[in-house]
Amino acid sequence: MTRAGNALGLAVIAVALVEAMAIALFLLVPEKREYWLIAALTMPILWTGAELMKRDKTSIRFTVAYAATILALAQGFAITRAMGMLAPDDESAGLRVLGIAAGLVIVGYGNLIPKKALCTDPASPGAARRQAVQRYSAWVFVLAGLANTLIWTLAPIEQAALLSMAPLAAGLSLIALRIGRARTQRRSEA
Amino acid sequence: MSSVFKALADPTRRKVLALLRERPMSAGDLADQFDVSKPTMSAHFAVLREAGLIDASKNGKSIVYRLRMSVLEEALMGLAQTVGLDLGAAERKEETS
Repeated sequence: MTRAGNALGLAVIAVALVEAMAIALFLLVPEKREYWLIAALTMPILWTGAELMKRDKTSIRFTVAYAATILALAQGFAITRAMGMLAPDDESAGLRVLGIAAGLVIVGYGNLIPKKALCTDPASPGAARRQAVQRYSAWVFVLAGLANTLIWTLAPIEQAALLSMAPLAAGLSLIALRIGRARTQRRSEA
Repeated sequence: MSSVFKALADPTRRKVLALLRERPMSAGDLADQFDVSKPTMSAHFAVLREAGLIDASKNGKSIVYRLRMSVLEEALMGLAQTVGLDLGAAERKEETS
């Protein structure tokens, strides 16, 4: 199957899963039906809006599949809770899984930065510097995402949210410093 | 993914990627770094492009190549170089059978 076919297939499956779970939640927890209605409408509206943009459809569909998977994870936990399969003490597990999923999204995003954010003019004098900054940022995002995932996996749940911010804050600071250094370098070369 | 393994299996192609990691380069500049014929180099560039590891754009009469490797692909290349993994073994086995 082609990459475009994979993207479309994944997006359709993930969005269908979100819709099916929204219907299940509608039946299981009718008192919160407005939430499930929002969940059911969010992905189709976002996807339609994204498809109307003049951008690479394959990457849009992969992003839709990503977002829908995270929403489906959250809905999955709501369903298990509604069906009484989750004791109140286990509810933190839902938060943990969502934290892990968010960390993996950061890893996935960072991984693809060098493929997506290509500089427009590779023959320009600053192309090497821009490429270096992009690759550095990509590695920092991936490592920060992995650290974030690890914290959500291993740290005590009451501290995980706060601790998981540390690698992200450190990563963003490192990227800002690297961009600052590249700008100084450019000025001194000019 | 098998096209990526195939592309990373060859040391010449890995060296092309290592050079492009420094900066985007023209086809001529890249070919000058290797002791192989231009058609062979073109074939290597084609494999790398097919795997989505490099990107080509025209600049006047020359073609400029730039790196298009994801972090995972770069890590895989680093691993192949460091440990000496034969990433093309599976590919060759498939071709011979």
